[in-house]
Amino acid sequence: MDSNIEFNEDHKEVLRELMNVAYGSSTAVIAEILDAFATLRVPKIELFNDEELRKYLLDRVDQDKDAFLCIQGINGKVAGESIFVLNRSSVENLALYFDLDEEASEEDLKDVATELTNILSSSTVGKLAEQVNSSVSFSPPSVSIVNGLSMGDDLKMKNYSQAIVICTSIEFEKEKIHGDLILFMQDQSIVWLKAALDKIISEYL
Amino acid sequence: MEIVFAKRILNTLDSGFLIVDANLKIEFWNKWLHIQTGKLAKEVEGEKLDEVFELKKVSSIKRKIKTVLAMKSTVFYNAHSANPLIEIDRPNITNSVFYQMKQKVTISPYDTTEGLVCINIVDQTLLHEANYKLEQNVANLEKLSTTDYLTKIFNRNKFYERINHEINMSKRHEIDLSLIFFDIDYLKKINDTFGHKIGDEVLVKVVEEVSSYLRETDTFARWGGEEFVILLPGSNSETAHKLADKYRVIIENIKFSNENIKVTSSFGVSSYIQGEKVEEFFSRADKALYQAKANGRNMVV
Amino acid sequence: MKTLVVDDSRLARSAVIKTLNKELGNENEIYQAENGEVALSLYKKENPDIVFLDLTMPVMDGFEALKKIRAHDEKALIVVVSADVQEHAVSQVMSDGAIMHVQKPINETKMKEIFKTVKFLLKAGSHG
Repeated sequence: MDSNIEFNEDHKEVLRELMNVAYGSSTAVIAEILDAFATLRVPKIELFNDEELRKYLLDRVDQDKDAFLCIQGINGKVAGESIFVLNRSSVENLALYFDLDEEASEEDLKDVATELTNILSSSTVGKLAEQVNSSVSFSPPSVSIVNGLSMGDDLKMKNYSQAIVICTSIEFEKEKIHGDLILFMQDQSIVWLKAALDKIISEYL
Repeated sequence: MEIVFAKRILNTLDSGFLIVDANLKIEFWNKWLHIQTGKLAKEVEGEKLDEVFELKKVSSIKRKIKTVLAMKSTVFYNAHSANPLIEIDRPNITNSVFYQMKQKVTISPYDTTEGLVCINIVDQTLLHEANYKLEQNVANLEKLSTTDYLTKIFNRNKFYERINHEINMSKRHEIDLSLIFFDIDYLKKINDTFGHKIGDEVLVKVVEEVSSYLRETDTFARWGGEEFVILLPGSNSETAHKLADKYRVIIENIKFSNENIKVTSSFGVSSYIQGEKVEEFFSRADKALYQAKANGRNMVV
Repeated sequence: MKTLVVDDSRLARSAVIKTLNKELGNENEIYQAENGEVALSLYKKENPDIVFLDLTMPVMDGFEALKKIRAHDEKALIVVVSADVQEHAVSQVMSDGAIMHVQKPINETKMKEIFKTVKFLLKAGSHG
């Protein structure tokens, strides 16, 4: 399963734009729900294999701090999992936005992380699916708190050969909330997605 | 027709269904909810949920409803905590664990143009109880497999775990780590002369006395029949030797039920040298203990 | 008619151009810019009748480009086509002088809507 699921520059370009639209839509939802204004940045998109993903994650995350890994299963033509990686301070900042006290418990923080993940990944992935004429449904999200160092191991890409990493920086006026959204897609879905992208390419590029 | 059909189904299903708007005004309240809460549909329909019940985190509930309406998709209210939406007591005649229902709550769009959502409440108490009991069992097993039955301190299993952890900590944070390996002199003789009951008493009392002088960060474990180990993070060789001698004296002075019995112990001490393997660290203490024995016992090497 | 299409994404520009051609036929000159800075200088040079402007772009984003183009030409006809659909963003661009804010992706229906709205302004002779 290799060249069949390689994305060329055109594919990446199209995907980037689709994700831009999807991400714009989800940011609007979050902004509305939190009653805050988020500055939208151009999301960086990369396609990684196992090795590359681990390296990327090690770079992105504070080694000795905790990170919240929020995983949500995606079902449908675009099947796989979305993983939202947030470091602890982002979750704590987010909790303040969610009207929690400074003394939020671990369970509360997990709930907060889950809520944001639910919103972000459902609307992003949902919008992406919409643009390629497909629909998706989501499994309940789960959260685990992992130590930065071991994260690479926790995210072993067992059933996936590619991961789409979307570097999301949600910036609220005062509090900076940074997260990385990682989409794992099953090989079958990648093949399907590639075909959908090809269609768009032939139409527009 | 459709509405009647829908209502009939929602009233026959074995979980809670309520339809509310963004302000928590109740449009529909199903039979399950009536039975579980005692509130009739006609009592609550048209009222606000937070006025009928005392709800925790009303702003959070409203925010989630807003999310559902904005995203037009389902939101899981309490993925982790099983915090109930509405507190419902459970009758507790038999020995169950929870007095309130544990709930799985999901919020789905019902009519987004009218701003209505449907909330589903599923009773998950049994699941939580099963999990709780399972966790308790695991904890017990864990305890059994890591503690010494007689003296109640850690056994060798646990010690191996701890020594690896302490070495890692010592490496990472560059702190001292020392190991005391000691054994009770002539315990076999005591067992043979006075019987095992006395022998056991000796072990238990020695452990009690030593334990009362340990610091929180120290690990004390029974290594074998009459052998014990103490891990001392933060202590260097000098401190460890002093401590070992202190314990030696304490043990020497223990009074037992049989006044004729006096017990001594021999100690071997080693301090971790950065980079050495676990086996080496341990073996140096072992050799030191052997030396103490060879040199006449009741001493520290 | 002269049009300026501004977006850092080739795909997005091409989508606008395609629907534009469908709407206007082929008798129109199209200029493209991949960021606000290029857009500003092209605007000054070519003086297009209408501008399609994205918001999230590197170098100079759409918010800034909008202000600068309007400062240069107070009659500039600018339609914002963006993925950023936050209320705050929409009201910001409208108060900065955009004629419309359209959510990506663009399609024929949306393009028709745009031209229905701007037809009067075009006819009214802001650019003859």
